[in-house]
Amino acid sequence: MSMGYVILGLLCAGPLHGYELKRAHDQRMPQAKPAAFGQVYASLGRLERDGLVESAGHDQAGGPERTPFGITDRGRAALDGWLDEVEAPSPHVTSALLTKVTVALLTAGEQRARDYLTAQRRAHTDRLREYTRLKTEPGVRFADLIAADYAIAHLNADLVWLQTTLARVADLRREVGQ
Amino acid sequence: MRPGTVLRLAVTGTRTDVTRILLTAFGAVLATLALLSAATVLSIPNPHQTVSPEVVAYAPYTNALLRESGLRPGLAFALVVLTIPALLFVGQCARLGAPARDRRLAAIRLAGATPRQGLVVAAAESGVAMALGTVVGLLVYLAGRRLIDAPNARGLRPLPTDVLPDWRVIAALVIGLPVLSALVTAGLLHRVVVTPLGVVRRVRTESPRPLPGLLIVFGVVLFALIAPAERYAGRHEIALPFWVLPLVVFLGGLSATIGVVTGAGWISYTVGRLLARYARRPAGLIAARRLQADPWQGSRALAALLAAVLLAAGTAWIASWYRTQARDEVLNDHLQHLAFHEPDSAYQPDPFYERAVHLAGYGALVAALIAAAGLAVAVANSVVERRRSLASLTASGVPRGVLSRAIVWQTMVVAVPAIAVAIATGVALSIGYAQPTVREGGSTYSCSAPPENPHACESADPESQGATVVRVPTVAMRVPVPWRDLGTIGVWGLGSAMVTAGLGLVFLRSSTAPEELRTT
Amino acid sequence: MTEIVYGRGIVKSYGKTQALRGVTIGVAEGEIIAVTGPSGCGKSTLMLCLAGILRPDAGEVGYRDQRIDGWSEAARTRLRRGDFGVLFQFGQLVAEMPAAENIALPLLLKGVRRREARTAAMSWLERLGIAHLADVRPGEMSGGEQQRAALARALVTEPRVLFADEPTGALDTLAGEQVLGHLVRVAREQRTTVVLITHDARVAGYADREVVLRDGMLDPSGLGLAGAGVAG
Repeated sequence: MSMGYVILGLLCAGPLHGYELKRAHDQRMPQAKPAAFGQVYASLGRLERDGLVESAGHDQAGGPERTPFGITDRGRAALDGWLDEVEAPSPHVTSALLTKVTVALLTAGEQRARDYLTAQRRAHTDRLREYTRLKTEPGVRFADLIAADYAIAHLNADLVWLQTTLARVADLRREVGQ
Repeated sequence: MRPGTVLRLAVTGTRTDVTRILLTAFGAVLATLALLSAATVLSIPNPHQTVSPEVVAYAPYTNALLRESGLRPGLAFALVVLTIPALLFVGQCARLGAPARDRRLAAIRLAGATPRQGLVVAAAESGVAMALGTVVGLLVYLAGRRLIDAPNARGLRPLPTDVLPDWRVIAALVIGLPVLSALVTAGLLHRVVVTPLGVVRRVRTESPRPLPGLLIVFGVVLFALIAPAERYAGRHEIALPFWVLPLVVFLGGLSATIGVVTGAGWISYTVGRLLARYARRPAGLIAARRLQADPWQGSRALAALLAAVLLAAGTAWIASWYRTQARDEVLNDHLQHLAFHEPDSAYQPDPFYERAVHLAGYGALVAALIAAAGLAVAVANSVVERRRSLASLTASGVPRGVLSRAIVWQTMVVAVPAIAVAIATGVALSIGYAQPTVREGGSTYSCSAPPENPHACESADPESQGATVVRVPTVAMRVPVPWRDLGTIGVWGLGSAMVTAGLGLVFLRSSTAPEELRTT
Repeated sequence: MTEIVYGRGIVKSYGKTQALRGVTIGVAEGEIIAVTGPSGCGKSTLMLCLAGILRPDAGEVGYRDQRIDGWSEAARTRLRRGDFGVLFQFGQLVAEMPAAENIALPLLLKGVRRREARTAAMSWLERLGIAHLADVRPGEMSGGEQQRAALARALVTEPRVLFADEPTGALDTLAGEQVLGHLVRVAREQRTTVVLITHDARVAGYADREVVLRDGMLDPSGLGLAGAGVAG
């Protein structure tokens, strides 16, 4: 997972210990679930094993959670490599939404599919409105803004697809009916 | 709205609007000068103060047209008639940049202007331009009468530069013309609904058929009433106010001219319909559909030209009438001498007639120049207005030659019949003023009383009292139709229509450049 | 909340095409409502009817307690000038006038003094972040700047209702977001009611509520299937 790279990115500004890392993650990473301590320490352990981070001296006061970690040169190189890598432009062709609509149309008939889609559309638009509201709040953080943009763009894509699908179904039926 | 706001909105515009304002003002300058000159001529006091023994009771000018009080109204209305092409030119200039102005008016409406406010702004637009013209015209007039004021050794002037019309007349002209043009604009805009979503012209594809004909007939009838009215006034010794004649001529002339011009719209539509049915080639078809789609385009483009042709045809008839009149006088004089057994006096008619005709010729020339300017403005504007559709036609593979031929078709197919109508109307108008038959003599006779009845000649019927009466017969001559002059006018009219169509072709080249597809 | 603008059974045809076939809609005061639907569904016509620009063939249009569909064009214009603001996709600014004058225009038409109108226009230019464009003509601005100027002009009279027809339709996403951001912010500050016409779910996301139009009728499912002629 990308948690390792997120930690490398956060460490670029300077060494942090585990608790600080978790806080930085929760603050800086937009609209993400709060990171679990266990996850942070597990990732740190893997990174240290691979030589991408190293402990930057001991804090006198505490145990292992008080050990600050810094990024190594190899760590920087790994992060750069990851950032350079182009993500495969994979559409979510296996999304649950598509599966459900397909099944509904194939087996349960059009009325059933329409009922489902009406509800689904409402849920999508509500969510989209929420993100939009978040975006227009005064003093919105930049990271939240681009995360909201990302979510809105995807929700919108779903909505456009929903609409098109229904138009296609209607067209198909009109042709068959004639 | 405050007046300042109206003024600000009225002068808002792009370079095209500046051109429009300047050209409108130029037309207004010409019209103002013509009208002020007419007013000056009519203001020459009569009888004028004696200047030298020879010119007692005559105004002190070198030109007979100005000197003799009876001729001045004729000169004045020739000047008034000259304003008609000038005003038509103004009308044509108003069309410049019309699409941009329509958009602007719609935008102003969208910003919250009521329909009335939109109308006020549109009317003020033309009023302001006209006011600029009349003020400049007044200044030119005032400066001109100073500069060319040149009395000769005997105190005679070539022009009445020593007379100034009443200030109220001047004020009426300088204020009246802009107000009139604003009112006319407002009136014309009644057909145009400026909605916030754009300007909707109430579609005028069908030409109001009887109206142009009626206007022409009205003008001709008005002119035909001149001679009987003068005879009536003469018989009953009523002095018609000086303004009656110019007013009648102006109204009659304007009505007939508008009739001819709007008639061109009907001609466009009809010819377009026929051409659409029978045209075999794309050029003819494009021209036909354009004529049908906007039949008024042709009448707008040809307006000033038709007015000038009408004026010239009228002048040609009057010239022919003057020549006949002169010959009639010579013949009558000859007969008179024959009747009284006197040697022939080799009578020569006043060369004044010739000069008057020449003057009228100059007038027609000025009118024609204004007309050519108006036509050029109209044709250039119509091509530029349609540049987007023309460019897209070219881009989609219509050869430019076809478009060129379409433009030529479109102009000429309307110009030929419209010019014929204009010539006929011009002649018909002037026939009302200058009758087709001239009569001279008939009233002079010599009477020698017999010795037994010396008072025989004083009785009502001297012949029954035994007197010998020798009568000079009435000489009547028909005024010949000046076919040659009219033909020349027609050829010139068609020629200038051709030239302006050619000008349209020049603009076509730049207007069909593919870059024009990007302009909206 | 009370309805500030309503339409009842609005029917409107262009020639033989029926654009609206009996639409009933109410807009609550202070609400931002989105009217969406595919192109040609009649949403622009609905807005023009509600804003008193078009007169419906049948049905009622009301503003507060008054029925306005029977009013004269001049009376409706005065209502628009005072209580309504209108924002279109493009082309509503007077091309020949610089931004500040364009924005001052509604005030000038009301008879406000030139200087006062200019001051008001300048404060709106500042609020929308385009004060530097006061003396620039629309043709020299970017699309987003033009729309912000148009928004300023729609708001300069402090309207109670703002009608916006695809206000971002001609803009790229970011410029559109900026215009919408300003629009929503100012509307909330002034408690202006907004009727937002759009085909774009992202734009509709700025609204509190959304109604969907299809074939000239309201579509309660929002899916574009309720319209007659679709059902078999």
